[in-house]
Amino acid sequence: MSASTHSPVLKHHFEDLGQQHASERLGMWMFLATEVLFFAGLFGAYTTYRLWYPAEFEAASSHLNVLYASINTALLVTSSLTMTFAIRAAKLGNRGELIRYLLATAALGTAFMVVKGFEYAEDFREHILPGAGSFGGEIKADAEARGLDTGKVRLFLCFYYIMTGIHGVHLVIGIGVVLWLVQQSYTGKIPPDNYSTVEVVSLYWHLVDAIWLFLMPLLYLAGASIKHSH
Amino acid sequence: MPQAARGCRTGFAACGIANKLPTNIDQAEPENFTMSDPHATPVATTSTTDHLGETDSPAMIVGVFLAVVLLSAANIGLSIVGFGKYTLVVQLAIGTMQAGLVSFYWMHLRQGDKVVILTGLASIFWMGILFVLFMSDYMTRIMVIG
Repeated sequence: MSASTHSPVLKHHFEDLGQQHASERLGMWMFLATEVLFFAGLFGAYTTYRLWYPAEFEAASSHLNVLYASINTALLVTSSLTMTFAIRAAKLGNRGELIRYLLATAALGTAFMVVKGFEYAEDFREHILPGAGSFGGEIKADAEARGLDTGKVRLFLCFYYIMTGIHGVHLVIGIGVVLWLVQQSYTGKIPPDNYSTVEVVSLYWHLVDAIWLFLMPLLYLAGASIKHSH
Repeated sequence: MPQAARGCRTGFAACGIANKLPTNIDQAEPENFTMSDPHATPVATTSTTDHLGETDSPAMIVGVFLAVVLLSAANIGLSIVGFGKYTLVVQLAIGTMQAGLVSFYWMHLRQGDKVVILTGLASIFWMGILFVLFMSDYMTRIMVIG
């Protein structure tokens, strides 16, 4: 019988820790597969309308703030970096380092949401909104000047708010789970034998990161080459 | 008995009858009893000696980070310059490369169990079915109704 069978983190229905870790990873990957399909529906709808109304989508995209999005890309990719280092620290049994990396991950995720908040506030001020009554300002004037259908410009904004909003909800959930990991680690519940708890959370975190890497070009860079006079 | 049962998890057929697995639960010594199922399908990566797996090297972790950041910078730069009708294709190609790096290295697909890799690929395959089916509708309507 292997020594690992006696580990306190081994759940009774698993043969050994290797089997337990493999099962945990597989469970999370199956969940991630459903997440991929969930976002695939949104990406598919976006693709259809982008191909139908390319001019309106690119014009609408050109009014979004690429600087905020670029900062957020850097924050999120860096948070994935610290999350990967957290797994390493967990495997090596370095609890202090593990907690520091997890806190850094949660802080970077929070910073992403703060930047997103500033971005939404700016969008609201500039009337970059999908509602018929709230849509206006420069984006509307620009669309009309180009002879574009403002209804289709507003359709892009629907995608923008829904996709970034759902992504943001996923990130907030991720921040919560990472903070739970901090608590678990602080109370000594994540010894090296239990590193996979950190790993499965990291899988979710990386997926949220990877989805952003597609949202960035689809939403913010679609019209980045369009120049405005302001 | 547990050792025999563990051996069978590498493949029941390979065990044969030489292991003399008890067919009656009463034959197992209670203090050694585990929930081994001799009929269980082998589960991937059930190593009992190396359950921690490979530890990522800092060089690999930072290398992937730099590659993803550089690709993001390239995507932003190229998009601002603009590259015509291929914009969407190039942007998505870069995004796919980034997601590939993240999943292969940081999400450990490179050292993943076959069933995990299959799960990941299956999600992409199902997404492909989704796209093919509805694109074959929405993108061909103009051909039908003009």
